[in-house]
Amino acid sequence: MIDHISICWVVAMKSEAFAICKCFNLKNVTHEGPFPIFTDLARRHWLAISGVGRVQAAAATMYLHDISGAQPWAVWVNLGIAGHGRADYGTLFLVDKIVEKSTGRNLYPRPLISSNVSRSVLETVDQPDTNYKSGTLFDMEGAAFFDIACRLSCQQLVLLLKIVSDGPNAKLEGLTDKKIIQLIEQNISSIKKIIKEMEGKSKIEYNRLVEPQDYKIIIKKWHFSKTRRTQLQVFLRKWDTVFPKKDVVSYVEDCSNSNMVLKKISLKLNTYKIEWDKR
Amino acid sequence: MGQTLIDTVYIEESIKNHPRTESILLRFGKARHILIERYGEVFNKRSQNFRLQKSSPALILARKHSGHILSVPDSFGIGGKKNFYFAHMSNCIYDCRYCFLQGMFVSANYLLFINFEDFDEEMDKLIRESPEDELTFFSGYDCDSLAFENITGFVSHVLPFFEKHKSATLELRTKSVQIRPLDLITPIENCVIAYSLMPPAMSKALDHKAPSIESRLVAMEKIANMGWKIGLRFDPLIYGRNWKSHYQSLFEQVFSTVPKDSIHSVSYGPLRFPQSMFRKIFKLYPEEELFSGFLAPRNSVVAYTSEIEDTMANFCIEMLRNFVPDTIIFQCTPEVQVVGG
Repeated sequence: MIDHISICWVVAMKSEAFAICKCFNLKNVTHEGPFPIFTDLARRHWLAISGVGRVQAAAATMYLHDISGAQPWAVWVNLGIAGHGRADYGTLFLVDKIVEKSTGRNLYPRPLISSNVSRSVLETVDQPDTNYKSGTLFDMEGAAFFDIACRLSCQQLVLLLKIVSDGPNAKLEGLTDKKIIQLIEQNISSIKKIIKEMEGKSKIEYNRLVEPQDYKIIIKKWHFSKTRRTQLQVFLRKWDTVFPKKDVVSYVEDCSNSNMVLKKISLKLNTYKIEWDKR
Repeated sequence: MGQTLIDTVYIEESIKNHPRTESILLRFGKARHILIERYGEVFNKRSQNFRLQKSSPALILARKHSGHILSVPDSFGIGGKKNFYFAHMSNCIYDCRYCFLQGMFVSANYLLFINFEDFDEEMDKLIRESPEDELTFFSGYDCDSLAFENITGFVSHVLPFFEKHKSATLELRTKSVQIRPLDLITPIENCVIAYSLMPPAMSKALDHKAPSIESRLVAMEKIANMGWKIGLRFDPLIYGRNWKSHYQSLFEQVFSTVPKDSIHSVSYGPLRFPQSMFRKIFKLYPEEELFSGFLAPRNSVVAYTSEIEDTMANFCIEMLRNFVPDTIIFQCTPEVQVVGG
């Protein structure tokens, strides 16, 4: 299990992956699965190339989750190019509303970023659409990615970043791999800043959700049912808060079963009186 | 309330042209305005993280279609025969760690219902249905009644209603030192500005983003001197080392600051959470010391032991009797109400 922050990228095309892989030193992971996967030495950044379309994006997101072992505090990023009805070629947008054209569903990403990167509505379509609407981005993966990623981490850790690659004044047909790579590279410092902020949010979630440090030791020593394991986790968190310097494992070492462990910890917790003056 | 703190405003399509919506949006000209169909699309989405969102809530402007006014248990009253509450707004700008809102809503976004007139209509109906009864309407349980006033204008709107309906009482529950529009309107007899209070050391640790007790007392004195009735709400009662001396100092400070003849009522109540709500709140803040001490499951709630609750309640009533008559002291629990009389 990964016990640190991870950033999971889902991109549709190899050219979109290139700049991210270069920036974060991601290398191809040898495996038998259906999607190309990349990661760095620290296994902090993971990237999947999904291919174009909603189904592919959804499948790749789930696959990346499985292969990376991403935890509920992972940051999920869908980065890609998109058409836009009005914005300048190369502009980076953070998506804050998704319209799924096929279903009419609306989704509302809201990662909490202080960056002043522009925000936009994104319409996820099933066929390339050059009927550009003013003020709206177009892609083919965003809605599906967001839908799935929000089941894996909280909404606040899921973001969609789109870079304008085509529009009324820049034809889709003229878009090459080289141009796509350039588009992402020219926005890489803004992207890095955003990721840095997201890592901070992820850390808050990590601290909240990570298993208490002595949990594994205790459940190895005594048998705990599922319910009792949950109870143990709660008690250990409370212990870490009120008795941070007291070793809980040695405190319960003379217990003969899990029931006694829980009782002993609970009784000790119940002796704790908060010193409000010292807070 | 700093208007620049809100960077996104969601607006229900059906009310986008409502004058109140337009007026509020003018205050957030730099924020992102996003049209939505119904507020539930944003507010009720399960995958939201209340804790993370609390650092930067968005504002949702919506219309409330039903359930404008709800009954409250009899034991939560302050003397009225029938008690109701309403929530023109959900979620609070403060971030008090014991607050039930953390466990009630999945979203920390501010949800403001702009159809104030529909709330008036429901209250009017209830008042006309019970012409002989004293009705009390409580505001400030799903939000702070005064803190957002510069944006919502709700208090300015609702006070004339209660000026007209003198048989009904309005309680505005607050921790705010923002006293508009109270300094601009002639005080009315049937409105109580009720301040939530606890010992300063506890408040400093738990009432995140809220004004200090000291500054609340300054505001209360100002409001009282204007002629408004003041409610003192010592809840929830918080346990800890030297709790008695903390509360004794608090009571002495409060009653030496707030003019006695302005005090409408005093209430106190225990710290209790429904079990499922507590589980959610604990999961959000597992490192919170308040949740790690004496709070434990008891029947369907998580609370201090009944011995601690009783000791604290008895202490409070004994202390409060030194300052105010029994007839205006109320204990807010499901079992007990009026202390005196």
